Amino acid sequence: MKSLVDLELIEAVQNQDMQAFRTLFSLYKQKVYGTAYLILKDYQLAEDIVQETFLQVFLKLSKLKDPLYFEKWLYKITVNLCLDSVRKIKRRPVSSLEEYMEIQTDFSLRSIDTPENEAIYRDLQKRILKCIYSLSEKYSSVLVLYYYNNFTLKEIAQITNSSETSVKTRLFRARKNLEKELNKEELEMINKPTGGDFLEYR
Amino acid sequence: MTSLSIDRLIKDSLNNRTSSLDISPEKFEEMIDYIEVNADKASKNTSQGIITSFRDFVSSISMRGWAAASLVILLLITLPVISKAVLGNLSKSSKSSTISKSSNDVSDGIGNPSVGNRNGLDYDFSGDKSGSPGMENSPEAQNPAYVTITLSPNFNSNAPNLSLIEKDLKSLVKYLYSHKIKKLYINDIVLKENSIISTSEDSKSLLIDNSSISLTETIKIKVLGNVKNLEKDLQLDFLENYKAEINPID
Repeated sequence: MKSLVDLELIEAVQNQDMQAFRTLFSLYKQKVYGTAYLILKDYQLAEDIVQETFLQVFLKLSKLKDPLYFEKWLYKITVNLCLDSVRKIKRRPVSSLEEYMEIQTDFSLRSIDTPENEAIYRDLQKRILKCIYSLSEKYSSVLVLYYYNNFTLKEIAQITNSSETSVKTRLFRARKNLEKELNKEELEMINKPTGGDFLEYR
Repeated sequence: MTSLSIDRLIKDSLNNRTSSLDISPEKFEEMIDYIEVNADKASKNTSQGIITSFRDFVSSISMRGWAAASLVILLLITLPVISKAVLGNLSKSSKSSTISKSSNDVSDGIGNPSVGNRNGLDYDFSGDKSGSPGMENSPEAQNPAYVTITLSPNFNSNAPNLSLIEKDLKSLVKYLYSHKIKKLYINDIVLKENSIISTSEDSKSLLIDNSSISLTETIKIKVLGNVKNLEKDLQLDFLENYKAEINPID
């Protein structure tokens, strides 16, 4: 679920209220950090992105006409800074294997009810994560914005300055790449109908 | 459904990976300080920033860029001036030159005093309405071109009969204007509406606006008009003291 935008808080920051800005920063820093990390796969770089993102927020929030657009605008800055960072570095940051191990045991799939299945699912997540890390930033940013930040295709198109079709294509290709990671049995295991439509899932 | 399960798996992977990630309180304070300092700098340096940005912009333009920009500016300034001057000359040359005839009275047709000998040559182009130039809207004006008429002296240059020579030239000029020419040059001296033609004190040269033309040497007349008409129609046999040769200029 997306966080609700506190309009009064936004307006206070627009009036250069530092305390309001600290509050806003606290509310969004974890998610912005997570977004930057998942795209860049580097802790230090991700921290730098958080700092620069909120500096831009402080300097330019007064120019934001519609406070309801704040989240999209925030992640637009974040994603753009991430992509700029990648271009400057001219290398894809490589994460160590230990990071793949840091998967929390917090599962939402009801069918995982045995320790054995739990272990299998953890392993699946690690492999999926490894595959996400191997994607280019063009694909991983769309994937992160969709699954991690819970934006719709239309919103992602606005954030990344692309067409909806382009976003849909990238998302589809990214998912196809991830499915390749899983073998037939694994796919069958997770293919338990739970209803809903892929593109509308939030 | 396949899609939803994969979606869930991806979502769980991402959320579970990042659930332990956050900015530490110390780092948070560092970031706040950094933002405060930089925001302060940014607000102070706004005007300076504009100057710096302008300087950066200026220095980023190459020499070639400056040269091109200068050329464009020069063209923008001079083009109206040049076109005004050219249009002005064209409209003036389309009217007849008026030179009043006088023996005692030394003024020309439009009141300007003539220079030189009192027995000056005076030509009144304005009187000959049929031959007056300025037919800008006629078909002949559509494609004007230059024609040269080379006048070679056909008389005894040691003892020229000045009055006859003057008469020849006067007749020629009148004749040319009757053929609706737009411009007339005599030895590269343009004959304007208010041009004053007179003879020199030693009676050996013609003076057009104080520029001298030797009467005993070849005279080159350049005429702007409809080439076809001029070539076809000009009959200069009436000239007694000059042999005329007509040639178009390409």
